[in-house]
Amino acid sequence: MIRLNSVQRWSLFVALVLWAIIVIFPLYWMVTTTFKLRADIYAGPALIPWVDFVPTLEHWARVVARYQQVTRAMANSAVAGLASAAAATFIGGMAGYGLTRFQYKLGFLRNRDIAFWILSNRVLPPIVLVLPIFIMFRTAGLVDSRAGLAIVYTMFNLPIAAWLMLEYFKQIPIDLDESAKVDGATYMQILTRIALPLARPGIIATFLVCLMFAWNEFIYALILTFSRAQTLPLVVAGQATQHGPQWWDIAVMATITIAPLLLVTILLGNRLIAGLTAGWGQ
Amino acid sequence: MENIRTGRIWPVLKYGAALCGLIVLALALIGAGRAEPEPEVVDPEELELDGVELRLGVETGHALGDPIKPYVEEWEEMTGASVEITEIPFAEIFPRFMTSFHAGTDDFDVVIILPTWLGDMSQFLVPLDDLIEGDDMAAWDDVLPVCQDIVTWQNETLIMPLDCDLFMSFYNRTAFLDDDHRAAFEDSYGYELAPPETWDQYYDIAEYFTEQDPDLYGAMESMSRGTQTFWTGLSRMVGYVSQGEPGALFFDPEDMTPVINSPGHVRALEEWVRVVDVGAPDILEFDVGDIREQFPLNTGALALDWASIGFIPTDRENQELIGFNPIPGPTEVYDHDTGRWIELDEPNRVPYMAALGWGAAIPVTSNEQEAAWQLIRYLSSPEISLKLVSMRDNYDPATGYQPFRYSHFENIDGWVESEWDRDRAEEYLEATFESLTADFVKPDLRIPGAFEYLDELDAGLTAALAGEMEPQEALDEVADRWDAITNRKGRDVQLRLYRESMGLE
Amino acid sequence: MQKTALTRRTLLLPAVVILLGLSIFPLLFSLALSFGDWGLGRGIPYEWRGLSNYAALLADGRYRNAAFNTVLYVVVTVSIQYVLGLALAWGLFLRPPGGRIFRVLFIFPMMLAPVAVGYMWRLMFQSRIGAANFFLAALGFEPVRWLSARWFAMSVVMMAEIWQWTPFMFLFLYAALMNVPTSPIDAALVDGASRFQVFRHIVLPMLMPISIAVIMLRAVEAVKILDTVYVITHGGPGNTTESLTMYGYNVGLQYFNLGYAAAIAYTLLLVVVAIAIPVIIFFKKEVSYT
Repeated sequence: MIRLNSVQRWSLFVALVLWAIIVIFPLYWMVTTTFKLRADIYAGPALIPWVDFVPTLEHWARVVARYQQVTRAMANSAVAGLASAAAATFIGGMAGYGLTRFQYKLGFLRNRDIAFWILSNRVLPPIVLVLPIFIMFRTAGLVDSRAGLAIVYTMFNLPIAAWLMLEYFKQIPIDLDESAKVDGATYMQILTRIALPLARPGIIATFLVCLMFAWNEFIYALILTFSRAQTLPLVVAGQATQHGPQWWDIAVMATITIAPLLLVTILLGNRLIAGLTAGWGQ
Repeated sequence: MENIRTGRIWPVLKYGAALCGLIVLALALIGAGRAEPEPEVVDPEELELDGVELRLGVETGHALGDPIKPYVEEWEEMTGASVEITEIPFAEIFPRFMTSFHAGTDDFDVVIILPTWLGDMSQFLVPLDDLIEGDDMAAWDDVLPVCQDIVTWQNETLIMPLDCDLFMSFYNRTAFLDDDHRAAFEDSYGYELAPPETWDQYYDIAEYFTEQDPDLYGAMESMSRGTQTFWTGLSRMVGYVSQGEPGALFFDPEDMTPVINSPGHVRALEEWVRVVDVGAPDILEFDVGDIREQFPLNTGALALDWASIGFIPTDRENQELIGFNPIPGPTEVYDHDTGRWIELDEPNRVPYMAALGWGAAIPVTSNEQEAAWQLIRYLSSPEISLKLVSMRDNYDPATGYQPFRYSHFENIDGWVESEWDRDRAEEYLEATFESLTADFVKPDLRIPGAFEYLDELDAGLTAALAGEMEPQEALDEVADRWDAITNRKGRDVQLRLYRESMGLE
Repeated sequence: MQKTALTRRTLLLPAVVILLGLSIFPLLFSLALSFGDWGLGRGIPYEWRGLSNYAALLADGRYRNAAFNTVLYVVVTVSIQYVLGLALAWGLFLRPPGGRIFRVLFIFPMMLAPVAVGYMWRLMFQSRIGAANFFLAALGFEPVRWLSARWFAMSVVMMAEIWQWTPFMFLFLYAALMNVPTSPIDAALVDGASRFQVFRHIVLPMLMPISIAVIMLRAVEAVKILDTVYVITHGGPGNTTESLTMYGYNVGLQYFNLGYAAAIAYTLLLVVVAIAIPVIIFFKKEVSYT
């Protein structure tokens, strides 16, 4: 292991703190903006509350007063995000498990090729797919619905979910399946009692990654929703009105939008990193 | 290994494909079974609206969404209906409604839109003529003729006005009345400091304040991309190319050749670009919202904006600050026919109806058209619309609704009741009325693709303002792209509709 | 036996159906659209126009400009993201004090909605009210027109992209570093190699495969750039900072010129595929080892 003397350790620390400041500052700037009066915002940069400006809850109060719009967008984001992340993880997990435990053949496509085909869907630009999807959804009555969004997000997360889950299942030795089989376990039992518990870190990481992509997604939501199913990123973008960007409202909505994922990251970040490290590193 | 079975994926695909096919078929059937609702003609007075749910789409925020809310709520209580308001940001409002219309989905019962989109939207909207006729509440005869014309497309009235747009210039009255400034200005420029009548004066004044007063920026105008800068641009251009004759601003009405890169347009843009140096330091990032937030804080000398009273800060406290002035003009006008500049005795101040004015319409997909009309006629009625345009119950800044009825202009008491200073209200209404009843008020573009034409213009103007392109180069490119749009949409059709919408047929 | 076959098929079926229905079918649909025009909802039937949409692209200056911008966004942001991500991963690999906290902190930006990130950066770079010019002034520099001059506006977009996605590089490179076998490193250190030599000659080569993979993955995502451009510049001034996805969005869903939009989207797809093929080949090799 490489060892550092204490001068090196602390200079490294200072360098990392500098980057941490770069990471934090835009967040800090936005959150403090939510507490500034309009006049303070236009008066020029003010950094420190109570020193440079007197904080106000005016903007938060206004958003709270219009809470229906916010809560609906939040519910839409949550439903579409959670449902699609769960579905993508589940369906992707099934595919990943199948591809590591059985051999498939489709013409010249073998397991490996099928896996690549699934993953390759991830690279398709949404702008290519979204118009036809819109037309299909219109026929199906799925435009501007949570269900429609959840379906699209499942599709768009499926490649990455299948890929991540495949990587985890690959690491669970088939010998374990073997011995369970000898003990008379069915496939279902092998899956639920052996594979799933062992792959749990991977499942959590996959779920989080899918949730993140769905929660933050913009272009599909922009085109496939009009009103009822609008998600949080659209409400954030919607604060730029004909009459100028309402910085205070934008900042409040953006803060509301990013807060849940920030919280999740703080709580589960180390687990996510551990999960990805275990699954991806080799 | 024994437990790895060799299998074929073909059956999976086969069933999968069959399933997909079935789903698509089923969906197609559902789609085909959906019929267009038949609008029924029922006397609106007799409608029972308990339990009716309406969905209204309007632009986000302080300007348009918020001001109507109190009256929508009032109406809900009166009728027992409920209204769900969807707010959409400006850049998305045309695409959002159009996709919804194209999709044929029943998303909105009332949409608040701009007549400039009528060329594209007309086929998706319910004609209102039969409903308007004889309806006392809608009081059609009370609407100014010019505001009636813009909501009429192909002889059908498709929008009930809530607004009638006009561009105006504003000046900082406090600064203009300051004796030191008046003396210093006259010393430097040789004429009296007064609300500008020409663009040269406008520039001089902006330059003077930028150089002499550290607390005041010379001018505030919308100049950033995607924020309707093109309307400020057109309002500035119109005086350079037209004395009121139609068809001099956008296309040659004979063959749809764009005239947007004519010497008149180019000179207007060149003079506009000079304003960047005498405007607010961040003027290139401005849109009208920034003007409305900042000008009332006593930070600017001059501004260009729509003539909505919402420009005045809503605490109604420093109403004194804001002076209204019809838009300035150039002293020469370019004549397309002779290709020469004509000297004028008076500055050519041509009022321009940028965006034409928001109004309410009913999509044909709505299943609640009768109830929707009930709501619309209530909002547009003389009584309620006066409250809207004078911001009676609205203390958030910047209403986007401007007066459009004779009664709005006559009933000064109503404005005083909305806490406006009588003199300010009179000055404002007089300036607006004069412009709206002028012979040469210029209507905006309404033909199909107007959104796209104007977006291309927006790109050209903002590129020139930011110094990324020369004005001539930028407008030549706009002209090329306009030609391409016209060719794509069909030159003959566009020409016919353009002539009609300009009143030439 | 029968039951096994059923299980086997059931496992793969949903994924295949979803991808066929919502990915492959739309892909083909778009392809057809790109060779013609279709007036959605206006009762105008599909009209075959052969290659005319693609031919028009060649003469379209706005398209060329958007394509150029897109390439620039990708090349600049992805390379800087990689260098920063690698530096951060290496820094944390050396076990600094507070490493576990930094590790979580550093992945924050990639968890945030790009729309919100775009506004965050636009707010900071507003030339009069933003923090950036405030700091420049404090350092004695003239204020900069960040959002209204082409190259500055593009650099703000790039900074936002770099800020947001450096964590992605960091995360995967860090994960890979943690799995690097330590014995060669220890052996080299015993032989008196410097840390830089260890990094350059042992660690970096071992990170090569994963580096190529993450660079390509990021590049494939970066080509689709929309949210940050949409929010920070809206393509302006003029259309000088527009990306391909944004142009395609404008043409398709603002101007409703569907065929042309599909052609734009398809050229974007070609670029993506060109970048993605090496990734696919790379992953194929990787998997065949295991």
